[in-house]
Amino acid sequence: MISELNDDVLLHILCFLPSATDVARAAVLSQRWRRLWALAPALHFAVGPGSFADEQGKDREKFAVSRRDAARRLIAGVDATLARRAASGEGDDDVDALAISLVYSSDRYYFHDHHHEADVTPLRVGGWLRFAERHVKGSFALELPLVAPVAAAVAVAAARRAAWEKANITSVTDEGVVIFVEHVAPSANAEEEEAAPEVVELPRSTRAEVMSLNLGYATVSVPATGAFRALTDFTIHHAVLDAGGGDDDDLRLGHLLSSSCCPRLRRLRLRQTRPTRSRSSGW
Amino acid sequence: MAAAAAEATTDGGGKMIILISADGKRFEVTEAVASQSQLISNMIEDDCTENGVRLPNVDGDILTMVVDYCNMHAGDAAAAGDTMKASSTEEELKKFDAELVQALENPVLFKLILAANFLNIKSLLDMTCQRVADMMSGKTPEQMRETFSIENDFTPEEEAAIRQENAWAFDD
Repeated sequence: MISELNDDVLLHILCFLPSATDVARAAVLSQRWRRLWALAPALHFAVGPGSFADEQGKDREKFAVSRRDAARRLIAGVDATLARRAASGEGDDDVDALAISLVYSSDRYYFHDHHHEADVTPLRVGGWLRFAERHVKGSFALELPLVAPVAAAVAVAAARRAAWEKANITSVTDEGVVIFVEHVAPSANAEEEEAAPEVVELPRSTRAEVMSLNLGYATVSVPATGAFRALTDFTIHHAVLDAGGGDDDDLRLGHLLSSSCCPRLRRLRLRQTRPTRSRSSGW
Repeated sequence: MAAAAAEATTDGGGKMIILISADGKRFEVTEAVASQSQLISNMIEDDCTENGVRLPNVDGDILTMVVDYCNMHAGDAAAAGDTMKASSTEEELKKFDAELVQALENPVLFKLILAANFLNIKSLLDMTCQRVADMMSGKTPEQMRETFSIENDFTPEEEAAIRQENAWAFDD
């Protein structure tokens, strides 16, 4: 009987469940499982491979919508689960391993296939990073599609480009020289999107040992003081490092890599990570 | 007493020790094999295995499996220090492990988990817990309850409230 196993063993079993969805379903089994669920040491939220096959037929619009809704449900699940764990206070119920992946794992998907981008707001991402800071003691992995403001900016740029191309073509038939001129300008520089990037701060975790953050080109700030005491393995990609109140980006990056910030770091990978402005030319 | 001594070849494993199951079956194994159990490893260090190690909560048929597993994996422990010494190839081990857990009926699987936990054999515990998790994954709570004979001790109202709380995990 499974009921003969002690709590530690049952918690160990929960660690091997591939998804937090399975863990959440286990909460409904019985009083005992409900109590254990609140202590589950590992939580893996993932949108999964995405089902590309669904995208082929005439119902592809419908499938895209249902996939987006599933991703949104998962995001709601992340929020609900983390809120509950945070509310129960620090201590025994801290999470050993938290993974949140909102990027389809099938390699046939690209950034523009993620229709749940609008839900990946810097506010929400910041909330997850704060949770990791306070309640994750082993490993933390976050994988995001383009965060909402970036996705929106990309969409605006794409729409403008399309409009410009359309204008270009129609100008031939309509002889609309004026239209052509109007639509040339925006693609050069979209200033309003850059006006106020919403900044998220990297989790200042003293206990996390492994962090892998794929931040969907969110603008991130590096904590000013010693931050990652236990961190041995740190991957950060698709991030824009914030200049942080006038500091030089190079200094910020240097600080991130320094032994005072990450005294135990053995492995660091930075990919597709750049400063906010291109004014620092050193790297 | 049936002395079902396991075929423990002394390939440099050193001293032999005797494990005695709850029902009195005796298993002779090398220290190298037995010390995959952290519990026994500690006992060997403390020099208290002279008169055999009594395992009052592990039945003979379960201990047979545990000893088979440890014999099979003895190469692992040796290989940690000496990569040339592995007695079984990795594929052989994987196949052995997969067949071991796949074949188990639930009651036996849980007894094996209890034994692995008591003896503190991490790789065996992980493997058997993984098996249980595989059987839970992708199932509805009703299917999980049925698979593992879990009694639902919620009132309908309580269950509805918990489902509501985790609604995101059910809408599909």
